[in-house]
Amino acid sequence: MFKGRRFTHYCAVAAFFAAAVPAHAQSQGVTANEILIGTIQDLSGPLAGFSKMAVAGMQMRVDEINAAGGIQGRKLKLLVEDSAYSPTRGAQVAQKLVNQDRVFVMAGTIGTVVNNAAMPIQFEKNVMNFAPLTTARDMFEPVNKLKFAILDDYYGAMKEHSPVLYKRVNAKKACAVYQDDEFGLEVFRGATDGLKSIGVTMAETVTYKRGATDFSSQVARLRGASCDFVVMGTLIRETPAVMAESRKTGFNPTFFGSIGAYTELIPMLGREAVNGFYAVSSTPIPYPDSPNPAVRKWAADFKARANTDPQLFTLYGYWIIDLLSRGMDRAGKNLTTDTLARAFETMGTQNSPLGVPPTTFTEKNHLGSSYSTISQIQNGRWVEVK
Amino acid sequence: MLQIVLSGVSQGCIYGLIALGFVLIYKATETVSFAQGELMMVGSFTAFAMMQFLGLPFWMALVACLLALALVGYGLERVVIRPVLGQTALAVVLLTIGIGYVARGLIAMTPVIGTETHTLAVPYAGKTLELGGLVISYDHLVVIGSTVLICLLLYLMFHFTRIGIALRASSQNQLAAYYMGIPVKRLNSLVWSMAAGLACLAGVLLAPITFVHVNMGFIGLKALPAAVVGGFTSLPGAILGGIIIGVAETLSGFYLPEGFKEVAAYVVMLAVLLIFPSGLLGERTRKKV
Amino acid sequence: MRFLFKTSYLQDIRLIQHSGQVLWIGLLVVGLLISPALLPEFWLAQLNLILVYAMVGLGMMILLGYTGQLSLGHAAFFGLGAFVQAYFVNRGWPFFGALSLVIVANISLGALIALPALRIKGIFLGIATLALGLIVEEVFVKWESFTNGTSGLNVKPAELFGLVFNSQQRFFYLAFGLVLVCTWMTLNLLRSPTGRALIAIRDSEISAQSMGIQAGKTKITAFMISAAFTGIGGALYAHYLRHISPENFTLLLSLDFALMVIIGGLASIHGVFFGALFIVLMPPLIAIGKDFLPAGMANTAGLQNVVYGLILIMVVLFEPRGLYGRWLKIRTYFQIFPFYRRGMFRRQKAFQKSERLH
Repeated sequence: MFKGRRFTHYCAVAAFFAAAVPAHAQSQGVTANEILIGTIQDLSGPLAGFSKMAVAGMQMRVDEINAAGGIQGRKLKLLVEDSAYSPTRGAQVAQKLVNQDRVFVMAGTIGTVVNNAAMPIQFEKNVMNFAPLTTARDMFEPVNKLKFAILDDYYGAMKEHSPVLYKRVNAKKACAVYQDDEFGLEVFRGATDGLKSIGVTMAETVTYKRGATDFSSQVARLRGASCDFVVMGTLIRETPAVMAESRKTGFNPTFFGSIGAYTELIPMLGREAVNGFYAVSSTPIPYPDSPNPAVRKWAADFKARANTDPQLFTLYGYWIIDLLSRGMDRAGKNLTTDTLARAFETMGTQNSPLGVPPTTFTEKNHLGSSYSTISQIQNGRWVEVK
Repeated sequence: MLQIVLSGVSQGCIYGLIALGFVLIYKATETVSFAQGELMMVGSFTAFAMMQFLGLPFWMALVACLLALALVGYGLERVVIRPVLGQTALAVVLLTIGIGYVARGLIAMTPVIGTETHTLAVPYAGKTLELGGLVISYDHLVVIGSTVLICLLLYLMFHFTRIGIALRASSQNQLAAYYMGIPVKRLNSLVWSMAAGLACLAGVLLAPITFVHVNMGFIGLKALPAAVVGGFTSLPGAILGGIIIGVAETLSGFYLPEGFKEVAAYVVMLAVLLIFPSGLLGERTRKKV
Repeated sequence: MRFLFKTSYLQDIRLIQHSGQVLWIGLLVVGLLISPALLPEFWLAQLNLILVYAMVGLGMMILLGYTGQLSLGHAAFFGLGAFVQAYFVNRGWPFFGALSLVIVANISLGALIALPALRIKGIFLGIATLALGLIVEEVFVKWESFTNGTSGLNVKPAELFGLVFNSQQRFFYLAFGLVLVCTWMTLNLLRSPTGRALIAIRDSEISAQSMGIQAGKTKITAFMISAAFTGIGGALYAHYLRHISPENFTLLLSLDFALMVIIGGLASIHGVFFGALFIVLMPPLIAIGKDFLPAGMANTAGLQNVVYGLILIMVVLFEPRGLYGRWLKIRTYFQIFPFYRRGMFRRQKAFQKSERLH
């Protein structure tokens, strides 16, 4: 019985069916009345402030959807885990969410290194990585049914807007200061390539390590090169520190930052020193007194729930769940990772009344939106400048 | 160029201010406390909370913060450090690392303000002083001034008061100190309160420069080389070490290629350690066999 | 109660002291060998990480537990091992070929880092190694042709004799085999003259020197061996995580390594594994425990840090011998029941003496 071609043939057939079975198995995380959504946030590390807001926004949309009856009769459950921005812990909690809690989809995971550690674990179990809160290119390229993103990376926006702003402010000499990690490097490369297209090269470039608090030597070098247009690959604390140091030493060029610096924290921390700062922006900051009435109502609703004003990341979290729920609704009763991916690719442009730019996924493009514009801090507030 | 050196000196005094706390504890108990940075962070947050929620003016908040932190330091010593009196120095180091973790965690857990970055509304914010072409901001001036003043006060205490001499004695030979009637445990509590109060002062003075956030204590990692370079047993050495490190950093940031500024502090520390194993102004000791 | 009746000098350095050990260790090994079939994937993945950390723990224990040198920069060796392995495996080298390069690289770095150790003692050595660790981390970030800078490297799974180790089950056997071999090597080291020289240096350097032990040479040896083990751990880590970048190898990781052996119990091989268990399992256990806490407390940031710090403080205050020490007390209680006395493991009251003058 165990000899000969017959037996091999039977084995091959059995193996074929065995291999075919997983493709038709029900995706994990979806039951008759519940859908499990996982998210890996940084609750005790450097990005804790952002994560807290993002989770609050996500939970708000989840509660709204559940109050309205859920999606196709299924309630949503959001499972939040802490990576502390460490890839090892990120892998550990990804294991828990994917293999222990068996979530259906991962949404809004924050941090490139954490996403990179978690994705192999997710993809092994066919769990989609939806709209991570990071901007690395390999969150949406190459196109993969398990990767969907809504945040464009810094390179493209800097490349597009640097020459535009340079010409608008009649600058003569360009310099750059950036954080020596992936983020800063991308901002720098984007700006350099953008300025190259109008024949401008960087006169001086300086860097700093994440967490640095002293920028005297960096600013001194920039001042020594007499630039009047400084590209800033900086984040929340470094932007006001660099600008304060510059103002102090009488150095007043035009400062232009990436979307990483588009946050309400910078005018709050830097006060007068940061007035006049330009940055790339896409979704406008949801100020409670925004000119957009939908935003005002949403901000008031959030404040009633959470006792604090919403921030930009609150809106991101809210929109991520909103977008996800639209896809899941479209996928219908038979909700699997494959049907969800199809739904995203065919549902067309999604608009939001809250100011988020229109989001479109297609078969060839899993980046929802590459829209960006420029904003400036005027009198302690961000204003979009066209 | 002179401006760079001046910035380096100001930055160095920041390190020196924190290093004073390290040296203070080491001089009195011969243990390194890795919790100074975190205590500094707790001090900043306390002052911020008092100004924000109780509406206290700056000077009152500063004094209240000093008292609060002194109490915290005393409490820490009684509850956590005293039980390991007599064990190896490694035990205390570990305890202070643990205290650091707990402080970071508790502050992060504080509702509303814990995970955000804040500024402290100091009365001299934003002002600068100009002297013959060189600019220095008031924040830095205040730091330099207080560092020098505190160092002087501490130095006088350790060398000319009975308490100071008793502290130095108990750090050199605890058993003999007990024999001489020195209340070792009580003095240890006093030292920890002082160090915590010093940390609070450092936190408040540094808030305009580093902003108030839960990870601001990591600047203590740069203050450690400052204390080592100056010699862990020397108070003026802490400032000297700080200034050396600060100037080395700004000079290397200006003249050397990218990346050297971050490691300058550690390279300088290692170089000094290899030539002067007890630091520049530390006590030179030889082990007698 | 078991009495060990010694009849020859060689019995002192025998690996297995008595048949009871054969039973328990045999059970443990058999249990671990069948664990991939029994454990759900999540727990198996944690077990793999425990094995990786245990490898590093062997290195740290040799250095800190047995030679008394505090090193707060071991993430540098870990990272060097990971990057060397990733670099060569990605270029097609076989697993053990790359591993031998890892060992060579780490031994060289270890010898280099040992040089300050010859002149600096105690907590200052810890600070010096901390600085060296930070410098090496910066080098990793800047040396882009080797480490790809901050974007990091994707690592191919390990491949041996044509078998690709790309699942948790297969990785387990690879890691388990390596850990078993390295533990055996460590035990051999400790019962050899070199091992005893290490312990002598830890207890009193001057006495060791007067017995003819060359302190400098011994310390360098200790650093080199420790670095080699940590590097092997790093190589395994690269294959486990499948994506590494310089940001993985920070000061906090070095602290984790040091805390691992201290909490586990210094100067014991059991301590290595207890410590690795603790360090790796604590975050997932906190994560699972969070599900049972009321929602308000559970989702707050910083809970992990608080638990971590509290446990560290409690271990130092109440059980300075570490987890292994506690286990030893429990085992002794049962072994000599009912003759166990409360003060059996009490420390002698000591007064702090200045390290500068004695």
